[in-house]
Amino acid sequence: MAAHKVTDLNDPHGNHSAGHGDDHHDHHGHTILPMWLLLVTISALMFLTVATVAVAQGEVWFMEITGYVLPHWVNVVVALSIATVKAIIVLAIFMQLYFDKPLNTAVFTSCILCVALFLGFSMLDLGTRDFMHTRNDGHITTGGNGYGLELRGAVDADGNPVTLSGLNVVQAARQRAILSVYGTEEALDKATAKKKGKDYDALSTPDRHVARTGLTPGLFDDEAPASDTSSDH
Amino acid sequence: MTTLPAGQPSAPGTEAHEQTEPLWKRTKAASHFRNKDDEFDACKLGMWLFLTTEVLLFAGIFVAYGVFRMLYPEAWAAGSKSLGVGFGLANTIILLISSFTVAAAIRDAQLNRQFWLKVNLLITIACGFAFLFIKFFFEYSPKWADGKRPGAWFDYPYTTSAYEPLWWGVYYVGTGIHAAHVIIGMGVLFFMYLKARKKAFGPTHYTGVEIAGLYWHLVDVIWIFLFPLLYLVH
Repeated sequence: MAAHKVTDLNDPHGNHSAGHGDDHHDHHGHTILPMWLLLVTISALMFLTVATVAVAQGEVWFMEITGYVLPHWVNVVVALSIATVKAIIVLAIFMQLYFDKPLNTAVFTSCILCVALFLGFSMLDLGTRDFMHTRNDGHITTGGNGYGLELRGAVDADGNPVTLSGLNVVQAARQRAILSVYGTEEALDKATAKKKGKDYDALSTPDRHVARTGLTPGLFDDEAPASDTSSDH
Repeated sequence: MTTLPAGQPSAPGTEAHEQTEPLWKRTKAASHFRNKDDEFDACKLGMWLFLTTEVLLFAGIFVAYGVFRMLYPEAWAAGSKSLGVGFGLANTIILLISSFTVAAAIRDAQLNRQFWLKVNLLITIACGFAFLFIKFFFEYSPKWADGKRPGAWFDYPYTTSAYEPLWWGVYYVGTGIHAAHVIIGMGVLFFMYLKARKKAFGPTHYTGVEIAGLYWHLVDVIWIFLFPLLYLVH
């Protein structure tokens, strides 16, 4: 009679244990997570979620109180770091990667490496696109050209049908709102001012800081502005 | 009690001792595996390989987010401000709770607590419904009605950047594919619930719940990354 542990290629289950011994071998390596571990994990995840929101709001609060603008990447790095920690906690404990065969962790780590390659090279490219070759000047246009965007049934003052072609989708939405809802550009701007907030166009004053986003105008001009008569450079 | 003449085999499932054994005890490994441990390990490895492909799917969305954010930061700031952080936070908490309940369901299957296994599966599915309800009624519907739509469907006249349709494209595609995964996960979990009603899961056989749980946890992990990128980082 073959010993139970010897592998026999003729037996589909390999060790002559079909029918009697199956139950004895099925508990190896199957971790049962204790309830206290599940509760501690969910509490940690909730705490980190609240922390992420708090840091994001804290950046705005910090700026309003001190007037200093934190560099933009601070919020991004902190938020994504907390998100990574949360993901690692879910992967290790809820998905039991910590208690599992290392092969599963290796498979998932290789996936993360592929994602890192994908993101890394794309950001490396995009982050260094600060200059435009002069041969491309004037060839870049903003947004789509809006061909085919028409406001059916609308006519302008001369009775000609109104078309919105040549505008991008954002300008087309604006024209549509003027023509069909507000009638005049002033009325739309009045409504827009309310939606944008009273401080939308305000500039910073010595007493109050207003955050700006986007590129500085004229940052990549070749010539200095006409009013720049300083001899420092 | 069988009434066949003595010596003849009875129909499967009609012997007295077979009818008292629950389905999970009677389930044997498929014949090409050495034992049930090997079958469980193989199923788990296959699921992890599938989960890596899901992560790569969402990596495409995240790279699109990164690329367009670097090109058009004002559009990203303007678009991100119009998202309600409260809804995103509520959805995050709902998904975290559902991850907890599905892990508890797997634990209940391992401990042969059939009632709590079914209850935890149903709670997880209910959390999925709550997530989708908040997403569709409090986030998608008002935005779509406002005109905040992707690409050529964009119709919001108060925008401050010419590239906001790109932001809405990334937003709808990212959260939309995630919502599709939530729906699929709910379907898989409901299928496991139907099997649990027949006592298909127990201490020696709970592969189905484990695999469905892994899928649901991945849906949660994806949202853990989507939430700060879309809602919190202006």
